[in-house]
This record gives sequence, structure tokens and C-alpha cells, in this order.
Amino acid sequence: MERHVTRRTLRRSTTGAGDLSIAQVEHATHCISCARQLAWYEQLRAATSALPALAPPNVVGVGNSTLAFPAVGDEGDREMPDRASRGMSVRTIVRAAAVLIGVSAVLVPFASNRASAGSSELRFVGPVVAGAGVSVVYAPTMALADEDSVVVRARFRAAGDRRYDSTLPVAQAGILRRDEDGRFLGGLAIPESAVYGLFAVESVDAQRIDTNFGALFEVLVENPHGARHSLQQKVNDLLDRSWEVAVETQRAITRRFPEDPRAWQDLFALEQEVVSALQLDSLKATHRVRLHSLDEAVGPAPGGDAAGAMFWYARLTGDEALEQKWLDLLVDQYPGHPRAVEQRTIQVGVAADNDRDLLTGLEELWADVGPAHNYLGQSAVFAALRLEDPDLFRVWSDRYLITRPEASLWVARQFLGLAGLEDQGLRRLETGLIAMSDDERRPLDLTRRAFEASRAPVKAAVHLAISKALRRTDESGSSTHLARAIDLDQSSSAYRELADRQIERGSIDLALASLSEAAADPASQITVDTAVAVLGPSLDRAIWQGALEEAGQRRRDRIEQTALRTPLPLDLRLSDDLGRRHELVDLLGGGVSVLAYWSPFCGPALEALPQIEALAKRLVPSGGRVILVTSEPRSPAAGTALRERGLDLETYYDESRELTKTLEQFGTPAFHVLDGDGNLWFRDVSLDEAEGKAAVVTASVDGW
Amino acid sequence: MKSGRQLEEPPSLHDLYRDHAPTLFSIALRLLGSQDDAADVVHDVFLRLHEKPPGDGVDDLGRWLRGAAVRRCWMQLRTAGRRREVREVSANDYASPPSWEHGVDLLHLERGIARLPTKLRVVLVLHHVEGYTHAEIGELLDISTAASEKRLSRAVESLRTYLEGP
Repeated sequence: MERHVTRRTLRRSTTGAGDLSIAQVEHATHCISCARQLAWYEQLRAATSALPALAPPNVVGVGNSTLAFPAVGDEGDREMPDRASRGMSVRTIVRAAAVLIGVSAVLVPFASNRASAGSSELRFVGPVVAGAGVSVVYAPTMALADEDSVVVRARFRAAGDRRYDSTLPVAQAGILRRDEDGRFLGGLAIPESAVYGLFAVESVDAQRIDTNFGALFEVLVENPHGARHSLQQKVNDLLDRSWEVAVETQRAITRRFPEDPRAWQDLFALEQEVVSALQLDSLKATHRVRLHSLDEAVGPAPGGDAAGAMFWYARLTGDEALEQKWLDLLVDQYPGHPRAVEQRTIQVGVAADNDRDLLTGLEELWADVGPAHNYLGQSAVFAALRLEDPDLFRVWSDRYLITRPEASLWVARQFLGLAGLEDQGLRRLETGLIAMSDDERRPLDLTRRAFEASRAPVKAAVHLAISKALRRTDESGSSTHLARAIDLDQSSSAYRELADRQIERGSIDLALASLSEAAADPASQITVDTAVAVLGPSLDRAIWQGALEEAGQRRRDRIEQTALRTPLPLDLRLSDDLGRRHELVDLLGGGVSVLAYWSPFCGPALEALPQIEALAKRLVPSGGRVILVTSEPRSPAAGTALRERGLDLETYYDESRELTKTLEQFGTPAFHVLDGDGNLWFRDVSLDEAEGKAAVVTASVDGW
Repeated sequence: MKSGRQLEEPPSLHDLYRDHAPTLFSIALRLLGSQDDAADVVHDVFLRLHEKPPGDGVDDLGRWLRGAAVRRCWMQLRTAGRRREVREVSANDYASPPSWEHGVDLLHLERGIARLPTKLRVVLVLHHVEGYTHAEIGELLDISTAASEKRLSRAVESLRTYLEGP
């Protein structure tokens, strides 16, 4: 009787462990089931033997992706043995030995060009080289599987691009067509300047996007600048996306470039964002050892980048002696280096008695160094604004925009408030409004609809500014812009403007409704007395109160929809100036609080301090408070910065960085709104929004 | 009188490294799943070659180097214990990116191999990818030929489950 070939026999046959009998072979020739089994094993065997060799990462060297083992003496991204032998790992010693015996420059692998995860995949066929095209195969997610074609959008980074650069354009890199197997095929163009690329795949109408579960698809581009720049730009791009991957990438950079202080300084800065409180002290101690070994190794003239990194590394690790040493060296030997210019700007600010003196000092600094660091232009712009000097503001804002082009709308709005600059401001705003909808400004992970929603508050503010400017010059279109501003974002200032116009037309009832909408935002500081002054003495206070309550409820409902209400861990602690530890819950004191993150070394945060103090005072009547927090090491610098400005504020230190990490807090100034029980309601709000959102929490917290 | 072969200039360590290191790296990466560890193994092998070259009995240096690399990998895998992170393989791990061959997406296959338990993966890679016989595998890993066959059989079965999906 003829029998099926057992799976075991089939496996033995195809794994080389035994042969099929003649009877079994004959059976398989006419038994579909067995033939399929046999075919499958043969197929697998053929496929595994056809697997190509795995290669070292293909971003080493230039132009030839397979040149992963550069010859001895090749210049470029070769890792060198660690001169400072303290703390040298076994791996480093082995690699150092390999170099010494002339084997080769050592291959130090790092995260490869990863463009896949999860259910979809964007695969690059062949090397990804700057200035060339590359074929890609996209295996789609379910959401895009039925499309005939999909669009690949990309954000490319060039060597030297900044972190958090919102002006980096996002562009269509290519269109892929679906083949009969359901995959999408096509080509992408890689710009000449690219060292790193980030991709998303979306439907042609931009309403469905494969963001690879938020990680996007990325590639390190072979480029003439070397792998260092690819990795650095990867880190720069990861900072607001994944701290953990950023740290891993930065570690790879330190493995590759162990003598470079920039690599270590960046690593410690990043590690602080991800390690636990328990790890932080030992981590800092380890980095201090590294700092000292670098201090001995880098020599007296290491270049501006290295000197700036040594200064900052010393500051981060709390070594004040080395911090001062490297600051002096940096400013003395490399006075035009961005890090030096930042510090020189701070020094000018400390030395100046008033804004005129400050601007004189900054002018001299500008003549010396030019647009080396944005903080120079920013400090001068704010000083000119405080002086309400249109000429100085125009000059300095143009300089400022060289280093911060993304501030163009803000600058244009300031123009509107300065005599003689209104027309220029209006033109700049109109141009900016048009550019705001450019698809190249749409982030990779946002659909067109979500992008429009995210831009609504900014666009509304611009429409309002244009509306006001047109009204002053009696030009047409003012009402249209105002209506658009209210439609986009029901802001207090837009409603206030509308109320004023309705009063001008004699529509008091309409004006009452509009003014109550404006007054519903506590930041507007519109009181009943204001309402009487605006609407007239005949205002019925009961009607006003009713309108205000209704408007307040609408506003709360709107804002509450976006509330997080996330409980924070109960054991979070902050330290005061004397090092005493306080539980966050105690600091909250049962009331609604705005956590205001700042840094004594951050220009924008220092500029915001007076407004933060004013907010703190305004919150007191409702039982709220501002808790000023810095994640910088505890040092006299913070207290000095507050005292110099005559501010009645006390700062707390997040020495363990637990709170900072819990809030995913980065950059200063930044504001978060908490209720008295330690629930996070709103994360990362602007200073302007903080008060209104705190009021919403105050009103809502009893009912929650 | 010296033979012609003996009169030839012996290849320098640099030449040997250039010629063989990519192959060793590929094997080591498939076995270990870590680029760092694979690079270390390659360098270990060449350090050993430098310090203690093989005797005259070895006439296929490439094979000797591959064997040394496999043994180093195996030692490392055995001492590393059971915990191992599965590294996601991508198209960029190849000098020549893989495509569909024999009706199989090779990248998917590679990922399936990477997910196999260590003992099974090592045997499958050595037998199917590197072409070692079961007897040779037994010698390299210090296991019996039958054990090698059994492990390969289980590896193929696991791989099939992975490739065909749930």
C-alpha cells in the first residue's frame, strides 16, 4: 500500500540527514501533498544558500559602499586607540592592538541604515549615495495596500544642520507604483548635500500616512563628509523623537571617535535624559574621569569645536575648575566660535547697566564675530524692542533672522507695533501667511488635515495682526482677516478686537457676547469693570455675568478636550538652593501649578523670567502658583541670575532628572500645568497659554 | 630545491585581512546577531593569526579562518547564556541587497533565521548558508553528527512556521 512520505523523512532528506527511498520518490511524483512538502523544503534550502553575504555598514568612506575595511593609512573616519588609557575597555585594547599590528583601520559598526520595522518596510536597493538616485521597494501597511501609487516624502539633513530645525523642508522624494505582488516600486532622488534622510510613505491625497509606528524610515547617506556627519545628523534629528535611539547612536559615535570631546559631551547630555536617578551619580563620575583624560589628551590648541565641547562637558559634569579653564581658553583663542559668542553675549548682558549699553556692547561683538550664534541677535532684538526703537529693531531683526529664519513671523508682528515699520510688517506677514501653508512645511508624520489643524493658532494670530494693521490704514479686507482669525482659533484677543468693532458700529449686544468670549480667558484680564468701561455704564451686570459663565463653560469644554489628566509618580522630588529635598506634591500645595522650566544658561529662558514672575503673582488669588524648575546642576548661577534681575522667585532643581524625564521635558523655557494632586493636565504649553489652562484646571478639578 | 609555490611572496596580513575579513564578518554577524561582537571576532581571529599562525598542514587558509571564526562565535554564544537580543536585519546590512529568489523574500528569510534559537540558528547557518556538512559541524561545535541533523531539522521547522506566518 502506498503511503505519504512523512514530514520527518522529508525533513531528513532535505537536511542532508537521509535519502528518500525509491518508493517514496515515486510517490512524491504523483502526490500533490508530498510534492508540495518536498518542494517547500527544496525551496528553503535553495533560498538559504542564495543568501548574500552580510556586509559591514555601508557608510564608511566615499562612493563605494562595499569599502568597509579601509586600508592602513587611509584618512577619514578611522577609529584611533584611546590615548587616555584609563578606563580603556577590553574591546578598545583589542582594536588598538589590531591597529598596531597593521591589520587595518578597525571596523566599528554602528546602527545600519534602518528603514524597516513592524508590518511595513521601505527597502533601499543598493547604496544610498548623496547626489544619486536609489531604487526602493515598499511593502505597505494595510492602510496603504489598496493604493495604486504612494508618495514618499523625505526630510534630508546636510552636514552642519541644527537640532530642532523647524525650517528644514520636507519634500516629495519620489512616487512608487504598485506591482502585481502588492509591493510598491520606484526611485528616490537623494540630494547632493544629504548626509541623513528620514522618510514617510503616504497616500497621494496625503490623508493616510505610514510613519512606521512613529519611528519613520531612515537612512544614513554615503557622502563626501564622512560617516561622522551622518551619525551626528541622525542624533540631531532624533532629539524630539527618541532619546533612547539618540543615546545609542551617540554611543556609536564615541566608540568611533573616542578622542573627540564633542562626542562625549553630547553623549553625557543625552544620557542624562534617559538614565535613572540611581545611575546618574555614577554616570557623572565616569564622565568626570573621561573629562580629565580628555583634558590631558586634547592639548592646548584643540580647535574651537573641541574647546567649546570641553567647556560644556566640564559644566555638565560639575567640574568648575575645568569649566573655567576651558571657558577662558575658548574665549581667548576662539572668540568667534558659536559657543564662545554665546558666552560673550551673556557676559555683555551681565556687564550692561541698561538696554542702550547692552546694544552698544552687542554691536561691538557683532562687528567682531557676525552671525555666529543666534543668542547674540536675539538679545539685541529684545533690547531694541524694550526701547521701542524701530531703527535698531529693524537692523537687529534682520541680523537675527540670519541665524533664526523661523522667527520671521514673530519679527513681522513686532514691525506692526513700531512706528514707520507697519507697512513692511504687513507685507512680511502676508508673505508669511502664504508660505505657512506650503506643503514642504508639513511634518512627515502629519496628514494634510492634521497639519492645517496644528497651524491654526499661528495662522489665526497672523490673520488678526493683518486685520488690525489693515484697519489702521483703512484698507479693505480687515473684517475678512478677523473672521478668519476667529474661525481658526477662538482666541481672546480676536474676540476683543471683534467687540471693539461691534461697539464702533453700535452693536452693543453683539459686543457684549464677543467681549464675554474674550473675558472667558483669564489671561485676558478683562474684569467686569473693563466690561463697563467698554460697553457703557448701562451694562446689566447680571446679564454680563450670565454671558461670561456661558462663554467660560464653552471655553473650558474646548480646552478640556485636550487635557491629559495623567497622574505623575508620587515620589518625585526637587531640591532647593540649600539642597533640601521636597516632594513635588508638597510644593504643589494642593493648588493648580504651572511648572516653569528654565536654565540660567538659556537666553530665552532668562528673557522670560519677568513674565514668569508676573504670572506667578496673577495665579496667587486663585490658589495657584508657579514652580520654577531647572534641570541644570545645583550651582550659584541660578540664584545669581534671579537676584541680578531683581525677581521674587525661588528655583528648584531636578537633580535626579526624574521629573524632567517623566514630563519628556526638553528645552527652556517650557511650561506644564498640574493640579494639586500631581496630575499633569497640560504638557509643554506656551507661557501665553499657561494661565488660561491653569484656570481651566482650577474650574474643572472639583468636578473631576 | 624550492617549489614554485614556496617561491611566491607570502600574502601580507593586510592582504589576508582584505581578502577574508568580509566573509568572516558575514558569518560572525549571522551567528552572533551583533555587529560589534562580529567585528570583535574578526579581529580576534586575525590577532590569533598574527600571534600564532597555523602550521604547514593547513593548505586552505580561508577555511581555517572561517573555522576559527565559527569556534570563536560558538564560544561566545555559549558563554553569553540564554539572553540574546534579536537584531532586526535590514537591506542595508548587505553589500548586494537581497531580493526575492526561489519564491522567498530573502530579507524576510534572514530575519527568520535571526529569530531562531541560538543552537538551531548556528547549525542552519553553517549547513545551509556556509555549506558545512553535519560531520564538520559536529567537529566544530563539539556535538554529534546526529545532534547536528536534529537541530537542523528543528531549525527548518521553526523557520517554516515563521515564514508561513500564523
